[in-house]
Amino acid sequence: MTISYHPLGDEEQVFRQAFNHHLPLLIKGPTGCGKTRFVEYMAQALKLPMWTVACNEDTSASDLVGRYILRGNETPWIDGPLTQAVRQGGICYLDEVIEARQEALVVLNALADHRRQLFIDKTNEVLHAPAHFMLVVSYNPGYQSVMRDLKESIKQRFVAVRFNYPAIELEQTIIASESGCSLALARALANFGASSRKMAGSGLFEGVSTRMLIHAAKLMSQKTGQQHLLEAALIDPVTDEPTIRASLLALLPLVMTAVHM
Amino acid sequence: MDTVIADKWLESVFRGLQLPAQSLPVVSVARNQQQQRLAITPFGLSLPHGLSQQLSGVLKGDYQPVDLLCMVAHAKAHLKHSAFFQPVGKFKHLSLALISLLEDERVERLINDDIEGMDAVFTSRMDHEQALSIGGVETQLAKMSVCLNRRHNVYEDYWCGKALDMYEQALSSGGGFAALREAGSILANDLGQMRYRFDHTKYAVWPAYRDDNSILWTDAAAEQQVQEIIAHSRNSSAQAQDLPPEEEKLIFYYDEWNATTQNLNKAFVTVNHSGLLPASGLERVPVRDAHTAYLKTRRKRAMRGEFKLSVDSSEQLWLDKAIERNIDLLCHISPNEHIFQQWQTQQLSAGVMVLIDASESANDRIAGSYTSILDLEKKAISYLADFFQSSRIPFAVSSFHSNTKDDVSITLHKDFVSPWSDTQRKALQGLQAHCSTRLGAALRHMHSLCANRLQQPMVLVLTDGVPSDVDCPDENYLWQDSQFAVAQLKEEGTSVMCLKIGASQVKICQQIFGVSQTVFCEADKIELAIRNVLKKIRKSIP
Repeated sequence: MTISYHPLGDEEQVFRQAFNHHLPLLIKGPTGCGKTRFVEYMAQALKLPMWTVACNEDTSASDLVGRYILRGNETPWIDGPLTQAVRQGGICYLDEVIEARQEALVVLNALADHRRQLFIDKTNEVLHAPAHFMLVVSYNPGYQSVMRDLKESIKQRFVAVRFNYPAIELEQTIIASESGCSLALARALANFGASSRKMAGSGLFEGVSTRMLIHAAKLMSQKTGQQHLLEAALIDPVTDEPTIRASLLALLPLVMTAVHM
Repeated sequence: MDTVIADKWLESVFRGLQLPAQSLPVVSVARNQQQQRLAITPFGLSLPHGLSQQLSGVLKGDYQPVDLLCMVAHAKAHLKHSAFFQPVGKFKHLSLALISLLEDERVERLINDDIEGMDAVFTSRMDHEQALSIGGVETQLAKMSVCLNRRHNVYEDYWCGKALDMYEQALSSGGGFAALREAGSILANDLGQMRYRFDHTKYAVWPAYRDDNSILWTDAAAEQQVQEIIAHSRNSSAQAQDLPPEEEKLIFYYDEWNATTQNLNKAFVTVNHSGLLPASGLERVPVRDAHTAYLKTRRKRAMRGEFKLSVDSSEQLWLDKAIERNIDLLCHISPNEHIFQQWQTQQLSAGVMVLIDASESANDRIAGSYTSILDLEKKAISYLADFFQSSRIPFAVSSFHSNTKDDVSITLHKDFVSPWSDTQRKALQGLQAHCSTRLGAALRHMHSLCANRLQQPMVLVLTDGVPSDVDCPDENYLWQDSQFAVAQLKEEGTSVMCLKIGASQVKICQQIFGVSQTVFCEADKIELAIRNVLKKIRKSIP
């Protein structure tokens, strides 16, 4: 399946330059703004295999590098996704890397600097990353950075690209092309997204993401949609706070008029 | 309806509609008198009873707020594009109504540039059949509104056609409000000659989402009337406020330090504990009698660690256990699958008690915004709770305020063992702030709540200023007692930290809690402050 992507800026050029110079890439951006899609698109454009790890608070070094497992009477070694990517070459994408345990991030140090080496202490191996290996990590600098932060020693090894939600015109195009809805509805949804992001900070962690707007457009694209579907797609996932919920509800009529246009 | 909630709702919608902060309205008031329309006043939006009820319905989730969106957008249109307090001069009431009608239409067209799609929403509220059913000259005005909104003569009515022509001509001449004033005056004169009777005391602007346009004119009497209604409504809502239901309260007595006489007044302050009940066996604990040496030993023991066995997500295979497992398998014995090992520090019995200062000063708003200190405290709690949960650090949440030494009210919203549920989140969102700040007694009570539950307790105080109470004329008395309480708690093994919100009275906070244990929070940098607090907590609680 071909992956489409609408560039927000010069991120594609930065990615290609980083890949050509064997530099790791750090992508920062709010949730649902297209970080993962971008990496998938670049993997496709560069014709590289891709390993994606969705990091969480239990992600350990073993989850990335590999571990011994029991199989019958043996205890064979199984490569983790990072090791596989280093051995075979390709993109290893660590999504929400900031959530992973600190000890998991330490294994990236030698891989992310000029050495491009992965130490596997359990098998006593040192792997050298091939030229077509690239390490890409991402995190959300909004709510996540309040609780956690990457160490400077990690951050400063990466080339960074900052993502944000697209401008209304671009977001309209993205919504329409991803969902197949009318341009009028896409425009109204993009406006709703922009409005909700203005509310961020007063009870709303972040505004409504592009991904959520696409979900809403899919639900409403047959012009048979009712308001409760919009609530399910745009409001209920982001807030339980009555005042913020009511504020978002107040803006829904602007979308509803576009649904029936 | 709670006007604070209405304020927040308005603030959020205005922010969503991208109204500059400096022109935000600050008050919403329910009115149930004759005036049935929204009023824009220098103090904010004054909601009539019907719209106020609708807003309540929206907040409860049982009403779709199309009229409310129109109301807010219309108000925004006036705030952005209208010139206020035009002199009434010799205009008669019908002229004022017509000029205002033309102005309403003008600003609604302009606001569509800011809020895309708003014209369709406005049009959806212009029910052309309803306009015919109003009666009297108001019908004629409503019909004109419909025609102006749709930009064609829907009713094929002579007066509507004339209004349309004059309106478009006035706009195209570029005369703005002055040109509209002239057009409205001519239309009113024509209608007057047709012997239309216009009773301004019964007139209500149509459709219902539009404001009463009193802001457009310098009608001193009307302005005074609005002020009186606002004042009356404020007083009556304050009087009608339901008293909170009686709930079970436990009473505790605590010492208080008098720095002037260097005397510890025994059992001097009364603390009323409400909310969740404290752990059983809790008694009034004289903190100075606690066994410090024992606590130290306990803490030292807690630093030890051990190998934990697990099935997966581990670091190393424990070969002995793996061999045992294989032997068990060969002997057809059900094996123990826990063959991985991981060094774990022994689980510390550490935790954080968050203490919220819910005194009256927490209602103060941050300059230039709608956000109050209390809002920031609630936001901080939300961040902290997420962190504690993800880090598996036990935490509890309390709030306090005081009204003399005989009534220090402390509510335990969440204890160390109960989960952080939606109910508790919502209850904290509804937290109200009032009265004074007798911090020392609150700290001593926090120690009592923590001491028999945790080996390594920490109290984190969220406050905006220094302690004070109405029975303490000496402004140094209570902060010195608080300073003494912090020292007492530290001696007994409970560390105390402060997140100070706002820039005032910084030094005293540092004196109470210590420089290293005080984190300052600018109103717009709460995330940064929380991060600093969390770093300190991480250091204190491994």
